[in-house]
Amino acid sequence: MSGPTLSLAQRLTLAFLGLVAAVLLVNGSISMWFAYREATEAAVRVEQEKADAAAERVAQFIAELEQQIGWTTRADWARVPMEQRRYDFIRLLRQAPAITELLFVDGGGHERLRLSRLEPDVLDSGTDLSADPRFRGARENRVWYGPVTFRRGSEPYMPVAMAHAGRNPGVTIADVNLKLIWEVITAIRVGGTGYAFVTDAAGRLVAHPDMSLVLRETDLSRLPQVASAITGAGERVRTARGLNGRSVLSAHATIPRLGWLVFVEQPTVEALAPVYAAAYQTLALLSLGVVLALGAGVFLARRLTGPIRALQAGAERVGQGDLTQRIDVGAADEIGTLALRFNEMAARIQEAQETLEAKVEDRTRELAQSLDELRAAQDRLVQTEKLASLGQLTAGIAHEIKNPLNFVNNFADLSRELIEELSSTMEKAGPALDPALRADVEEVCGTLRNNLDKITTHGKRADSIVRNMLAHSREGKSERRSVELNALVEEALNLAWHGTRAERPGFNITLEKRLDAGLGQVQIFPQELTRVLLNLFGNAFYAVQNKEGVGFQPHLLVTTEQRSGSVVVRVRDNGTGIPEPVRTRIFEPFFTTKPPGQGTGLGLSLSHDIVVRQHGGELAVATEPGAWTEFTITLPRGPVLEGRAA
Amino acid sequence: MTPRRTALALPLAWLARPARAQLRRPPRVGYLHSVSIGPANNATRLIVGALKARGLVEGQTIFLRAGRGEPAILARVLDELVAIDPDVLVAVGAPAVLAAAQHVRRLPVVGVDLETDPVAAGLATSVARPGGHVTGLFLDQPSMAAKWLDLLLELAPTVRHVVFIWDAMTGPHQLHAATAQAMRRRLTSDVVNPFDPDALPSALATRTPGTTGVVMLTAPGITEHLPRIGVSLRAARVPGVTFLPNFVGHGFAMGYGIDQAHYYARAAAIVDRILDGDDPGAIPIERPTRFRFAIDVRITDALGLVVPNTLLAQADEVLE
Ligand SMILES: Nc1ncnc2c1ncn2[C@@H]1O[C@H](COP(=O)(O)OP(=O)(O)OP(=O)(O)O)[C@@H](O)[C@H]1O
Ligand SMILES: [Mg+2]
Repeated sequence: MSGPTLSLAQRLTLAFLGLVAAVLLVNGSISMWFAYREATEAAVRVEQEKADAAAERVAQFIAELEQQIGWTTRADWARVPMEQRRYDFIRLLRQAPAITELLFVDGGGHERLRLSRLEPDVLDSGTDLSADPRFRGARENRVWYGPVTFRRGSEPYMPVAMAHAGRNPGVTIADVNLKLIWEVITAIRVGGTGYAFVTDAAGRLVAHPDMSLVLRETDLSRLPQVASAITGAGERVRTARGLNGRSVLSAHATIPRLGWLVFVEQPTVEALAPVYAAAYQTLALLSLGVVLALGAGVFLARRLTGPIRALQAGAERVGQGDLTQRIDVGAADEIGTLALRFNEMAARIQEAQETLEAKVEDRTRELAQSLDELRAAQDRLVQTEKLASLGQLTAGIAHEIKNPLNFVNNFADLSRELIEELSSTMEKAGPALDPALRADVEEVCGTLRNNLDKITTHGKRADSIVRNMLAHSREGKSERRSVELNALVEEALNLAWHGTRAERPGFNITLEKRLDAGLGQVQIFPQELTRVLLNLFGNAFYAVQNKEGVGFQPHLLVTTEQRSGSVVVRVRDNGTGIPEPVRTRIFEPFFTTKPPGQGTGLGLSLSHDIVVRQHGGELAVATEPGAWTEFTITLPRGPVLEGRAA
Repeated sequence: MTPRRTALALPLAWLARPARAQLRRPPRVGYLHSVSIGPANNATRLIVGALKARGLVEGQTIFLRAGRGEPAILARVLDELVAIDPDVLVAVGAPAVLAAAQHVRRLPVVGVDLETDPVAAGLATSVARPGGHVTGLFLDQPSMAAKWLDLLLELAPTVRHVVFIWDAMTGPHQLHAATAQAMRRRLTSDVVNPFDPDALPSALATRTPGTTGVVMLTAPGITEHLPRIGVSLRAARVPGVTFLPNFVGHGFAMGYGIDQAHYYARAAAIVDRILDGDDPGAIPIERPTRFRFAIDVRITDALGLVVPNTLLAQADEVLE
């Protein structure tokens, strides 16, 4: 498509407009053509009728004159006395203002009476008028109309001669002032500005509303309409130029008796006014129709393209991702159906997207969970490895320390024996010895004994630490067997409680046990697990002892629980709880918050080793500082772990 | 005019109006009467009346002056009028027409003159095309005088002497025709000046009633003197004929002449055409077409005269 692109609405409007305009144009042109034909014919007819009527009026004027003159042509008029004739003439002049002069010529052609409006009456002048054309014309034709003459070259006059009745008749001659036709002519109305005029047979103006033209003896024979009327050729109605040069519709009629021509002329504009009016009306209707068509076209196009636009806009918004978009075109037509389908489509897309999102969310959540689990496992693994290596390191150190420590302990024992030997020797020496010296030696020996006691005591202590350290490397050495876990837990608790009571007789605590009766036999290393439990209980007792407060009731809860594939042992106390910086380190070897000399910091490290590495289980801690601490031991059940334990 | 064209024409006329008003000053018309511009004067009443009916205002657009029958005064007031610079000058009566025609060569003059032959007097080259700056209404029919005399004789066949009332300023033609006809009818005749109050009474004093008659020839500005003349006629018991039918009623027995109202209205029409820009030299001189005859039966009865049927038949107006 070339040129500027038109919108659908514009094209629809144009198409509608073009269609309607074409129909209106064709219809308008046809009706205009017919109206033009009709109006023109009507105008021509009207002009013709007006010309006929005007001619009729002029003829009437002449006929009246003829009739009036006829009064004096009675057969007996030749015999009436002159006075009576004069009286008749006077009356005739009085009746017919157009007659300026009256003559009576007797049968012999002699003037007998002459009356004039301007001259004195002349009686019996006897002037011989027998050769006068008026006399001869009347005698030959009975009524004779003479040619129009212009008196003093200005006023139009026409002689009318009438022969009397009877033998050798006389003749009445009237000189008619044609200026009086002016009144007839001006009385003829031809439309608004039209006019009538009269010419004689030669085309000289006889009567015209503008008297001056007549008085100037105007010759109109050169006007085309007059010329053609004189020859009698051509249409009776034609367009022509008027005397003032304006275009006129000119019609003429002849007055046969006089040979005169009566013209009726009306400005073309005025004569054809109905034609123009019809044309204007048609044009007005046409433009009205076009305007209406434009309006209707725009309206229809809007009605049609509005829904399409809405559809387009909706599609755009959906394209931009606004899936909630629905289109309401408010129509039940094809576009309405299209909109409906579109809405359905959008709904389906939205639905699909929403499910997709939910699925993605699910997957993401699952993934995140897996990731968390993975991280935890990794952490655990790292921790386990770290602790394991630390444990091995500890065991290695213990091994190295163990022999020197044995030496120390053994030689301390030996030294004691030697001091005993020295004492008994001294006893034997008796008084041989200076009592003062003896006292000094006795004193030194006592000090040595004390020192050796201390060495022994602390050596034993170091020995027990070393043994504990060595426990890390002792895995697999004892036997895994089926044990009643609940019983083991109860036994360990008893042991711990009595141990602590032995150290600190005032100690008191509420012990609560929720032991799952369905727990039954569990494959474990009982000795090691007892160590673990003892350690946990010991820690709990220490924590509650360290907590102070009015009305504080120390409380310990031990729970066992049966799960599918595993068993869980929980130890919960309401002691000091573990602060966060401490909690991350409690499983490290030698980490302790106890005062120096009181704890080794190896308890949890060892417990972790036993539960995780030896049993393949888990040891977790949950705590709220200042409120409670709960350790959870999860042990896999059954021979599944046999291989791993081995 | 169709409504459509009116609708077009109105705004155009509205637009054109101020422009024209600026370009053209209102037309001015001068009116010069040989004798009188008094309210009783027929010519003035008819002609000025018709012009005022066309929108002219006395003292603003139409200016009236009278010559009082004196050539000197006429010349002076003519100068006054010319100084006003009128677009057209209406001159009534032969002296005024001649004075106006000779005084200013280019000023269009509409003459109203019942005596002068405009072609013979050199005012116009022809009746149809005057060719100069003078046109108007000219009766120029001296033979009317003979007719008036015949009318008098028809009413009073015993009349042997006739007194002609003649204004010398109107020229000699009518008087010539009148005296010639009197001679033809074997009458003796006498001539008196219409404006001399003593002339007519003294002319009639020596005459025997019944054998004397009076014919008044055309005399511009005579209207105001009619009552006086009528008194003289009645006092002398003399039948009189005058040149205008509407003069009957003061003492004249008969009046025959132009239909003044009908004829003088044409003067205003010609003024219109000149104001519209027509060349006065191309406007034909108009002659009257309608004549009227009036008889005052009260006078004839008082004189003991029997009006013959021939006269009654002619009469357009009979005063009883
Ligand atoms: N139940 C508990 N409440 C509060 N703190 C605890 C508890 N159990 C352990 N801890 C903290 O963990 C630390 C390490 O404990 P661990 O058993 O390894 O060593 P210890 O108890 O300090 O020394 P030892 O076991 O040799 O006497 C303790 O010093 C203590 O701070
Ligand atoms: Mg411990």
